[in-house]
Parts: sequence; structure tokens; C-alpha cells
Amino acid sequence: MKTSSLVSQRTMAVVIISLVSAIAALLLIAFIQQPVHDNALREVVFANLDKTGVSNPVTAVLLNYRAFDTYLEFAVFLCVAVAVLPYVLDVQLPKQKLSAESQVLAIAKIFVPLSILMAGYLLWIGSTQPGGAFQAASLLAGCLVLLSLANVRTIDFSTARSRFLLSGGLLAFIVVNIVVFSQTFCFITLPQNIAGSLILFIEFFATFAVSASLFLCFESIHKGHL
Amino acid sequence: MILMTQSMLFSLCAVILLAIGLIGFLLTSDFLRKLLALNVIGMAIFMVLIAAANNDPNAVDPLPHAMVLTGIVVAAAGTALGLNLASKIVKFARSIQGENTAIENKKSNATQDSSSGQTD
Repeated sequence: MKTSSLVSQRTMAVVIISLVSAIAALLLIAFIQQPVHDNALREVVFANLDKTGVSNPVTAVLLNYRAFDTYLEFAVFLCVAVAVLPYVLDVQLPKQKLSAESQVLAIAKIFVPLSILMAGYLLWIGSTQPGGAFQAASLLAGCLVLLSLANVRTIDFSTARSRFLLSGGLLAFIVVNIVVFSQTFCFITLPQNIAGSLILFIEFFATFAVSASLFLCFESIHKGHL
Repeated sequence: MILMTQSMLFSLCAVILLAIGLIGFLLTSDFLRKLLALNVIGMAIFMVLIAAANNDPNAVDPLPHAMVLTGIVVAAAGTALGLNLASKIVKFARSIQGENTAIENKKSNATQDSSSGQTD
């Protein structure tokens, strides 16, 4: 009985490995035979770049050309935050006093101010150089994780304020698009003259929302399953 | 003729990563390893997109870059959600196991009692 199940498991493994290698071989053949990418969309992106309010093509794609995608992305973040929120709210946080100077706190004291500065810089240069809301958000989330490891309580997720923080990106996007729609009657199309400042406004709130969501994800795993 | 360009090398590595991830996903029954394998598959797909964007080094396509940028952060959030669910499932399985062992103990106690009663 046991030996037969072992044998069938081994045959299953052989079948799976051979199927996966067949798929890999097929993909390799497809990659070798693919026609050369014509970069047609790149031409379109660069042709209209002066109308988007930013000069970094990636930011232009994210927040102007394909703003709808990013809009739904913020909604996905809110969904994830709502899904993992119960794991954080259930637990009683251990009351630990910062009596002695811990190693992590010493590191956090140096790196947190620097990372916050770096995040602000990344957010600001996102319009002209590589950078933007998502990079700044991951840096800020890193700060929050470092502080959480040093037992410093930064965000209390049971308050209404934190909920507004989590949904900030989506709310900013909705507010901007409603205001723009009421003025110009164009759906998710930013007017050329103020597009740059509107993008910065959305990115500012999105940075905090995404970093809070990422930190909430970390907290739910770290503290939620003690 | 096959030209070994940089993007071709990236695509090749991505296919190998995809194969590793698929094998890891299909051959293990552990939640943690399955999640890690899913992440490896995701990285392979990001690599394919980056390779496609870099096909012509003088004209880098910004569209796949934007997709990868948001994809990485969403993958991290999705992994966190998966880890939470896996932890919940393990806790549930443990509690069920505890109940089962308690019931079995009760049953064995009862049979022992009845058998001792018969011998008397």
C-alpha cells in the first residue's frame, strides 16, 4: 500500500517535470521565433509627452495615459487592506516598554529620518526622472516596518484616521476626477495646463495609502499570528 | 540565426525561472513553499516584460516598465494575503486535529471502561 503510493508519487513527479520542461522548451522556441518588437506604443508615448504635465514617460503612462489602471490598482490595495485588517484588530498588542536601547531602535533612529527624506525626494522627482509614488511608498513602508520591529507603535489601525489614510489614494483619485469631470466633462482626462500638479496631488496621497497598506500587510503577518 | 542579445538572455532566464517556479508549485504540498513558488513565477513574468521593453536598447519602451512597477507592489500585497490565509488554515487544521484526538481519547476510554466492566 505504502510502496505503491510512493511509486505513484514518483511517477507523478516525473510526469510533472517532463510536462514543465516541455512547456519551457515551447516558450524558448516561441521567444527565439518572435518577431522584433516594433515599439509602436513607445512612439505614441513620446509624441504626446508634452501634453501629460510630466516628462518621465513611466509616470506619464502610470498616471495619465493609463490612469484607469492605476486607479483600479489603488482599489486593489484597499481590498487587500480590508482583507488583512481583521488579523491585526484581533490581537492584544504586548505592552512592551522601551526601557533599554535596542539595536533595532538604534538603527531606526539613523535610517528612518534619512528614508523619509529620500521618499520625499523620490516622490518629487517622479515627474522628471525615475521615481514616483510606488518607490516612495515602499521606502516609507520600510521605515514603518523598522519602527515596528523596534516596538514603536506608529499607526493604530483601529482608528478612523488610519482608515482614511488607507483609502487616501483612491479618495484623491476620485475627488480629482469628479472635479475635472464637472469642469471639462472629460472622464479621467486631466486638463493639460494643471495636469502636473494634479498628478503630484494624487501621487502624494497614494504614497501614504500604499505605504500604510504594505505596512498593514507586514503587521498582519508579524503581529497577527503570535 | 539566433542573436544572443541582452533581452534574449533575460527571456531565457525568465523561462528557466518559470520552470523552477512551476515545478516548485506543483511538487510541494507546503503552503509556504507554494507561495514562494508563485512569487518566483511572478518574477519570471516581470523579467519577460522587462526583456520585451529592452528589445531595442536605444528605444526603451516605458509601458512594460509601468506594468512591472505596479505589479511588484501588488505581488507583495497578494503574498501577505496568502500568508495570512495559510496561517489561518493551519490554525483551523490544528484545532480540528485537537478535537479529533480528544474524541478518540474519549472513545478509547469508553471501550476500556466497557471491557473492564465485562471482565467483572
